[in-house]
Amino acid sequence: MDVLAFPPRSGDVTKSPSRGLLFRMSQITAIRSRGERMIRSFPELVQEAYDAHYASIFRYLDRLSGDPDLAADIAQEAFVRLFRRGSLPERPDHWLVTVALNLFRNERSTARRRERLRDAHAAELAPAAFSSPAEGLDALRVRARVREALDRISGRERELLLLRAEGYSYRDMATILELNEASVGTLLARAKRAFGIAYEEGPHAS
Amino acid sequence: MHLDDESLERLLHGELDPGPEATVRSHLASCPSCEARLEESRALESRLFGLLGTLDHEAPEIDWNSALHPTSTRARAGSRIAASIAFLLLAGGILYALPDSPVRGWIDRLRGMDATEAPTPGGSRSEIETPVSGLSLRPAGAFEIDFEDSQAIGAIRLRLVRTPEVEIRVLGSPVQLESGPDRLSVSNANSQSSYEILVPESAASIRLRVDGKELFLSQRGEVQSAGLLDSTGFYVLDLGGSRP
Repeated sequence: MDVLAFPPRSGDVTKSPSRGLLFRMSQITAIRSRGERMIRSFPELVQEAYDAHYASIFRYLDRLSGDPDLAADIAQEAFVRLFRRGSLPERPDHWLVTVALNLFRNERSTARRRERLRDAHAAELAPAAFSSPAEGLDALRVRARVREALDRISGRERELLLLRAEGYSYRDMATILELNEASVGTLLARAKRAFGIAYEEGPHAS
Repeated sequence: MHLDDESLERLLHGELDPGPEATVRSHLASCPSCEARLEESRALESRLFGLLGTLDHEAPEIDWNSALHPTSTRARAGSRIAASIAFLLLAGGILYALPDSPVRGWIDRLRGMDATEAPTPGGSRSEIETPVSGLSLRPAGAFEIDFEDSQAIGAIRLRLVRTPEVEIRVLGSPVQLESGPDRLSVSNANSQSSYEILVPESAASIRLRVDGKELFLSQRGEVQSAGLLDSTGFYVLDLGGSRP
């Protein structure tokens, strides 16, 4: 990996009008010539990891939890922990999603989440976001049905299926979820079937 | 004998090695039932992943400042202090402006004291440390590193290394580096940064100058002239330019 390990530095952040608060990117300006390479500081490496993986990790957590606020909190906490770690792991995406999953599993049973879910559902039932009432109702019904079906399959199937939807390889998924790599395909096939059946049966089938 | 789920899913996701893949494909060519299962799985996945998209929300950006410094109470205390200072400055300004005010004398005396005070080593330390950045390049032959100016604050630490590249890391505020195959110049006028430089033993010659004065010379790893060697193997060069 083309990374030089630097001693960790605490947060050097600056305001960028277009993208919110970001790490300061160029500590030096350099007129580059052939054959040289820039040495990137650790905050720059974290920024790169953020650009590459944040959207995917947020989407994964959002789908997993059904709670965008919780997903945002956990995704942020994972990146903050990456920053505090002081060096980049070999696979930042693995590391981030593993940390995020652990945080999510810890968070899952708390009363805080139940309260939040209630609020989130109330907000989503407000039809203002849709252009016509009929479209709004249809979209709401599909979304609620997908959510319900996804919540009905096992936690492991849900985590696996959603990782696959983010494009993780079998080896990656086996590492992250601590599965036997040789059976990832079988588990995926089972998860897909379970999710498909749960969706077709519709709500209240269980 | 039909294909198992594992083989079908792996084929679908491009997760089979070339050998097993050929076997699976040749079975599919002669087995309509397995071929149908493969297509069914492909269609199911595409449908389900499409449905997952209905759950998505826009990702909010991370607020790094509050995420890394989650002490909002301290920030509020900080703004109270800032407001108090602003008030005192305002009051002081009014007192200073009044004719025959003794404040004017005190302030002028303070100013005089300030001018004679030596600058703090390391410059003004802000609460937030700056990151480390730099440049790495492979010298073609004889190589020169030129610091344009001497610095009252800051130092160069330089070490010989077995790797083939010259590396410079800037610790502190930004400077401009300009490099070519045989030279690197550092626009460090008015800078208070420090520098860490790695010099390859294998280089024909590496010469470092500050404001035209040679502070370091090595030829094929033999150090001809340098500053003090510290216990960690770094030569410490004085950026003040006082040592020839």
